[in-house]
Amino acid sequence: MKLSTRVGLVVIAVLVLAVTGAAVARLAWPSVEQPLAFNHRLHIVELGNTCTDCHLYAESGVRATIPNVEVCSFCHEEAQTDSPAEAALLEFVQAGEPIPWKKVYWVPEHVYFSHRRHTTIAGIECAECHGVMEEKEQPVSRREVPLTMEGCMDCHDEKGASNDCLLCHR
Amino acid sequence: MTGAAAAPTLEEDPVAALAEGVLDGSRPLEALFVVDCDPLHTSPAGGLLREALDRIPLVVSMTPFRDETAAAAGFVLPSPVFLEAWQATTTPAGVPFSVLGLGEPVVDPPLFDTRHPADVLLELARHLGGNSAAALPWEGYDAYLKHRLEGLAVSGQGAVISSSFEESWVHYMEERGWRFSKRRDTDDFYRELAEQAAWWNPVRGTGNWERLFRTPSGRFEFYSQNLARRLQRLGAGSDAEAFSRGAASLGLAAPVDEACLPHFEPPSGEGEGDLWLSVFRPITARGRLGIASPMVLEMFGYPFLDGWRTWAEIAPETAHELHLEDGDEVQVRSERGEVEAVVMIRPGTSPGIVHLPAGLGHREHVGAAGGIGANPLDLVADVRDPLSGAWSPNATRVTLRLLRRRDHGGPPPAHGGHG
Amino acid sequence: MARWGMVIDLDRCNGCGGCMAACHKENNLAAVGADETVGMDRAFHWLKILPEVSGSGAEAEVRHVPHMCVQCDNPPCIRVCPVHATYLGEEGIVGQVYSRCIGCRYCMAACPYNAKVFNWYEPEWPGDLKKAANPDVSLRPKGVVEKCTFCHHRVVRAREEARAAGRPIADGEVTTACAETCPTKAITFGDLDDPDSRVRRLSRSSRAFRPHADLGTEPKVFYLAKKE
Repeated sequence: MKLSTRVGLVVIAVLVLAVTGAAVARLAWPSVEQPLAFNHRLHIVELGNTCTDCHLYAESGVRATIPNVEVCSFCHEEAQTDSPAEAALLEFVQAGEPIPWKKVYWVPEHVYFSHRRHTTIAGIECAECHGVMEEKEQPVSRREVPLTMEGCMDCHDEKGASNDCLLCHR
Repeated sequence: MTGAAAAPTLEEDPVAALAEGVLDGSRPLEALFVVDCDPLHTSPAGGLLREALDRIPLVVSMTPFRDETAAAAGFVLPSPVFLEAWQATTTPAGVPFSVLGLGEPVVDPPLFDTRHPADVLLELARHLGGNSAAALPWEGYDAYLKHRLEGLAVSGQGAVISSSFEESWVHYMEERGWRFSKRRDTDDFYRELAEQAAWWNPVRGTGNWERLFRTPSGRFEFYSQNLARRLQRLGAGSDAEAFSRGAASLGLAAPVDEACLPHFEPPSGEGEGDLWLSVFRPITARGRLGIASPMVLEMFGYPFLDGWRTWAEIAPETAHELHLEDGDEVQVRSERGEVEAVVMIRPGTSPGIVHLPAGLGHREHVGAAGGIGANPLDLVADVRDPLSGAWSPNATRVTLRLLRRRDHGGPPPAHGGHG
Repeated sequence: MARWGMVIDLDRCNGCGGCMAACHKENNLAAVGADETVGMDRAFHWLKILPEVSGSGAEAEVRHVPHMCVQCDNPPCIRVCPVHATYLGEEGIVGQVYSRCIGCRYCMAACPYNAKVFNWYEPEWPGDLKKAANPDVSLRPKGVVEKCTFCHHRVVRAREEARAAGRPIADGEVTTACAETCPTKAITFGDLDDPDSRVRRLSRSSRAFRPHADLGTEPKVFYLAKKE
């Protein structure tokens, strides 16, 4: 094998590793198993709910919320279908026990993130960071879109928002 | 030390009078309710009161904090802090017109299992029945407040402060020129007041001059009418001679003419020691919440960047005389006791005086403040101000003794000790 | 773009300490406790009030100088930071990124104003105090340096409100916790580049001076004091 070929192969190998590494890193967010088989598509597309009907404070607060029995029981006080998923939910509702959802999206403690600033003020769609939920029939078990500092900064650059460190690290 | 033998005073120190009355049997008490204060810690007569509490069968402390008085009480009924309760305040001293503030509880229900002292007393009255129940018929503290505000609502005077300045201004103009007497519905008034938090009446109503000018001359008199009347009564009469007799019987040092004006009454303190003690309360130690929080403890002595301990402010001249330096640890001793403090040399302070801050030295664990620093009131001698009867916090002789030099331990150098 | 600055009128300051308390509360400063404060001279404040005495005896005059990070335009601290944890922001605020800080304390040594403090131990929040923390400001871990941020989070919040209402930030709309609390209105905060701002006018007063201006640090905190 010629030296140039060998160098070429090494370069290719490095590239492949880098690309797959990045892909793996993207997928490497731990996949979790949710306690209930929640169907986003059903709730959004077929029943016509919007994100903030259940994820309260996503437009008005610093932190958005993951709906729990208090919110679910607005509609699900009694069985409305014969779905086993709903039956499982009703067990929680009737017992008054919180559903042990596993958190999928979070930012580290040293990052300040305000939902209101991004949704209401900047007008960014939920899907940009959380993926297209209209198509999801299975519960969210991993991040649809990776949350990385690089991603945040790229988006800030694109949208002309400041990348001053103190904005997020305070 | 019982103060019964002390020189006569015009007024009585309320804490000392209560304690002395109990101790000498002249005013036996069956029950004492201590509401939202800690006299064992904040009064120089706290030591007397501590003795007296043992002779009162029922002592109840209503306080948000586990303070010294609560620790000595038979029952502690936890009360809410100011953010958790209705509160009303009236015109503070120095404001030349009437204002009234009404505060709604912002944390409702309270974080902990507490009850407002007024609610407790109202319920006690209900259970007592008879006259007590008839005199205190309100269901709760807010109902009582509403009742007290009824007169204000009906009178139509003043205005609830509104978010738009104009509204108040128009009302102000109305008050000056055109007079509309607006009788207001009490419920509406109360609701509006609770929302806007304050009422004011920038113009003093005319027509009650008789009440305002109850002076002998019927004009402005620039001395204390109250003191003059009391001194006359003491001299058993109602003329100038009775006044002089009264003033003389108290042994006032000030000329008679000055007795009813703000004046300097030199302390009559006796005892050993070549320095005067001056106790002051720093801004960080005022209020009930303050000293319980570690944050405030940290800035207790903020002008010196040094919290968490009691300091002794002395003038550079005094420090020079006593061979003391900034940061030296000293013992301040009076006839009544001794405390430890750190020397802080303050230019501008009068020589010959030791200033000690009050606020620390809690015997009980009040927030983070338990066992930190010293309470200089422990030093204060039983010398009463002839007029107010207050334990004079500036009439105590003390000595300073060096305990430790700053930065290095070991025995103090031979020339360092004094007194 | 704004260039934030502050003017402190020393003839108005009476040394009450309100600014200090407000700063502690606003910025979640932990209490480090008696052992460190007293025993080791590690008093932990972003804003201190320094007494300044002139004259002696009965003629002594005491002046109180509220003192915090002066937000230099040419900050010595950022040059020595090996990890770019402290930097000069685009609006002139010297930032300290806690998650980057490795706790070497070079910046503290470089700062001629002694404006930075170090978390020697894990800050403690006894009882319910953590619940009372300002959610806009983080709770710092141990081993990082911190300092006054000119209440940067308030600037961000004001800009957010202005943007939501579709208008520029008005003069006086952003103010720091210390300035807001000051009962004598000794502290003024604002945009030094805004030709109509109060802070700009005051900073050009004949009474104005900057602390250690001779060092070339270009501080953005100005003091006002009567001329001798």
